[in-house]
Amino acid sequence: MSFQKGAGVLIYTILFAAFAVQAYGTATVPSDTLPSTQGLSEVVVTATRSDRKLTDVPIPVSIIGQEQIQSSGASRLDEILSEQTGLAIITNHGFGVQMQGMDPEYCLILINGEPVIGRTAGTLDLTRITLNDVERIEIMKGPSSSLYGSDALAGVINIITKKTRSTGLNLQTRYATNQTLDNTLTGSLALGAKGGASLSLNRFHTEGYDLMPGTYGKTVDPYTDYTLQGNLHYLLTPKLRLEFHGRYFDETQSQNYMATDGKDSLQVGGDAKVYDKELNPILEYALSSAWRIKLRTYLSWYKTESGLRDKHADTIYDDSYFNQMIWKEELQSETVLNSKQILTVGTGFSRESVKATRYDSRERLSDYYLYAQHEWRPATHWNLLSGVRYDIPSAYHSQLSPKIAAQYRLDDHWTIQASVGVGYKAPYFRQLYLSFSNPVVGYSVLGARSLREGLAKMQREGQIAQVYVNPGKDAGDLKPESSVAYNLGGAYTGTPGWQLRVNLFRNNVRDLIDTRTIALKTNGQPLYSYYNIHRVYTQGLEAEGTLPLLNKALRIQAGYQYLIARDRQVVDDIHDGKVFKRDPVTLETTRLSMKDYGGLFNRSTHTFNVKVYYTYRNWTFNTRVVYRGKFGFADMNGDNILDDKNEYAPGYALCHLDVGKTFWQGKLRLETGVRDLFNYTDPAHLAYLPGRTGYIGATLNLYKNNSNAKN
Amino acid sequence: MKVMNRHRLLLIAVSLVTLFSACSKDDDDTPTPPPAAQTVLVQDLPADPATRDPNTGAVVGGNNEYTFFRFSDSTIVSHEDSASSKWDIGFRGTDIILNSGTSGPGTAQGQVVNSTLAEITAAPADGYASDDANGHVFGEWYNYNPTTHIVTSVPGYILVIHTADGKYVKVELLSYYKGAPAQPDLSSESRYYTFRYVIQPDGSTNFNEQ
Repeated sequence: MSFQKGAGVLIYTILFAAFAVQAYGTATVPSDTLPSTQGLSEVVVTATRSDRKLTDVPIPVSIIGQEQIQSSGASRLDEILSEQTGLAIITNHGFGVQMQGMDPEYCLILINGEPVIGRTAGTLDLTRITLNDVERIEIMKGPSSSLYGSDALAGVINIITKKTRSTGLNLQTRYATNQTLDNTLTGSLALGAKGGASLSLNRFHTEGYDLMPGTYGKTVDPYTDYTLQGNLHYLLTPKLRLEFHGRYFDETQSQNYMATDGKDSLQVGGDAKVYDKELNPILEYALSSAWRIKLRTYLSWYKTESGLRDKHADTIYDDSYFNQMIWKEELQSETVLNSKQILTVGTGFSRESVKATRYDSRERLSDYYLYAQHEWRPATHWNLLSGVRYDIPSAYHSQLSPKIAAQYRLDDHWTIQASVGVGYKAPYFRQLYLSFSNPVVGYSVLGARSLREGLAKMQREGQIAQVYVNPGKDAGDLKPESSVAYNLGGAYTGTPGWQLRVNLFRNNVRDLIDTRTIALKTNGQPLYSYYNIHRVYTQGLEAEGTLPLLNKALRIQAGYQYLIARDRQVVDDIHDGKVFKRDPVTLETTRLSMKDYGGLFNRSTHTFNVKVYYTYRNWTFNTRVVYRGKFGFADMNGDNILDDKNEYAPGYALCHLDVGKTFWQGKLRLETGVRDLFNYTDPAHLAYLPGRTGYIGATLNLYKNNSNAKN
Repeated sequence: MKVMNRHRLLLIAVSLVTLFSACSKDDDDTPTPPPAAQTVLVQDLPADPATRDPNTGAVVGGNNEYTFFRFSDSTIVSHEDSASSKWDIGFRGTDIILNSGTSGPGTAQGQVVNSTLAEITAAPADGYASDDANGHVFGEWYNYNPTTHIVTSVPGYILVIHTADGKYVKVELLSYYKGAPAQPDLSSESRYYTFRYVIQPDGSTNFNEQ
């Protein structure tokens, strides 16, 4: 039945697109064949799902280009993102990115437009993604569920891989502190004028580091990653192009740490493995000069295995696995209606399944969706983008996500942009299907969809002493977490190429999912399930400027973000005088005022960065200072509210320095650098800062055609 | 019901604020001042304390029974009297019950007032409830931190109780750990309540201590 629904949606889309073309006739588009190159500079794809000039997109998008990636000495995605304005890297079961003050689970990470899967506690570990083979990274802030569906709530980070057009070999090696070795070999092949193919293998190994040598186990245990990536783009006929991206990732970490089990600590050790695979073929067909369709297929697998043993007792401590798989099919039609309007419609489905230690059986989730997008230039200075997407998921509420954005060019220097959009995040599998009892403490957690049945089973088994909340007819009816967001910005471009961008943002997020006590078990412990509970808001200002000097040989960039992120309920309760704080020593209780409330944990009110790039002949010099202001670390007085001085971690600045030189017309590049020059560490709050590290590296480019050596 | 309780005396610090009419006696018509409410600090009331077997994780030492308490004379009531109205409130782990409704045969009822202990100068006249099938009146008195596994009483969560013997009491729960440590951790002994309460012995709602 659901397949028929998908087919119906598909047919509707094709008819609609055909109608659109019929109605508007042939419009002015340069050619009726597909362009064989994508050589335009400053092109972005994330905002519209098709290549557009950055200046034509009415949404705040920033690009991290290859030069910036290469000259920064960064190896993995988290390193380069940590230096970007308005982004902060935070850790919770992996390195995730906080955008516009929202947690990593609300930021969609794409590779070539398709979502990377495999999140732990909401975090997609960015260290899984190597920067080798990356052409550029597009960062789009503000929600865009109107195009991408779930998770695109704070924004989207899209990693675009390289499309080679030349034949040759690229060898890159880098050796860094902590016996970190990062090697990549890339082979690429030009396929005449029709396309190209490449294959690259990356191996990343680190011995980790130990910030607290007195304790058992390292702060970061040694691990080895392998990434194999293949890219192909080829014009099968003048009107039909095939693109393919495939990726295989394999990580093994040998873990040794002190586990706290109730009241006791024990030494555990073993291997933790992570794999992921992605296959992403895209067929693009030009039906006419003004109408092209794309069929995207996406298959991805994610798998973790953990086999930890209690080293003392030689017993199994943790033997768990997590398998996730997604299959997506999407048909997209892009029609140039006339010189001023482009209509994009698309439809598709995704099927996801998870099998894991903590689920009773293999759980499946499907989603059928339909979207439309309209790009319109009503007048020379105006640029409007509107879109809407409708998702019909199988296990939770359907979702309508509209978005509208406008850009107005006042003159050659000034541009203003404004957008309003809706973003949402689907409930996690665990929030729907979890069935878990803590063997040590004794509490239980049931997913919303498992609640009715699971509770009945526990009652039959005599495990339930008392039910507080009877799962009524709305049990299991979990809504997606959703937001309405506003962005308002302006940009100024000066004559020698200097630029200033400012963006104000506000995100109103509601229906955040949390646990609620459902029943009391006979062992005195609670049974929890998931409900839509919290509302939060984040708002702030982001400013970024670029100043080129000395005939562009010297470039100075600076960025700043001011951020407020608060729990709506806490704010309301404080205004109503219903929030209190107790001094843990004197046990005195006082009423909380707004000036005591620090907002959500883990957010810095002020963050800024300054970057200086200098090129002299074949030399590149590059230094960056990244500052993150004090942020709420953990609740210390038990009220779960950030309201005390000792609940903050101090602010800190990191300084990085890189130098590179190219030889033999770019065939060889040597580089060296220092990260965290002043050796800032804070093991109590920031265990993921390793302190000062240095590296040396070399890149060898051997290409048949020198003009394409940059590829 | 098994009789496990030894009628152990509590470590109780009682600060009885004796009645003094502190104001001047200029006016002979001064009505009799309301009787003084009494403030009592109860420390480390055991609420079925239990330890866990380090190997199996099983609960040992606990008997899965409530500790019953009476406010009027600050006394732990024996389990023999569990089916009587001699107790007002019962503690077992994080679970708190009142002696009425689904939890006991008595008439003790309660309600939560969001305030500080000092700011509640009089008990509300109505709004008292019993534990029932939907939950316990004081079911949400604590915050649980899933990272540190520490239970902390919600500040400003004041229990106002009309006791089984008809007195009004306001209670602030202060700690769930033995000795009320400022920063309890996993090595702290849990299931020991420290709380402060104010009782009006004359049966009125007045909590004035003057």
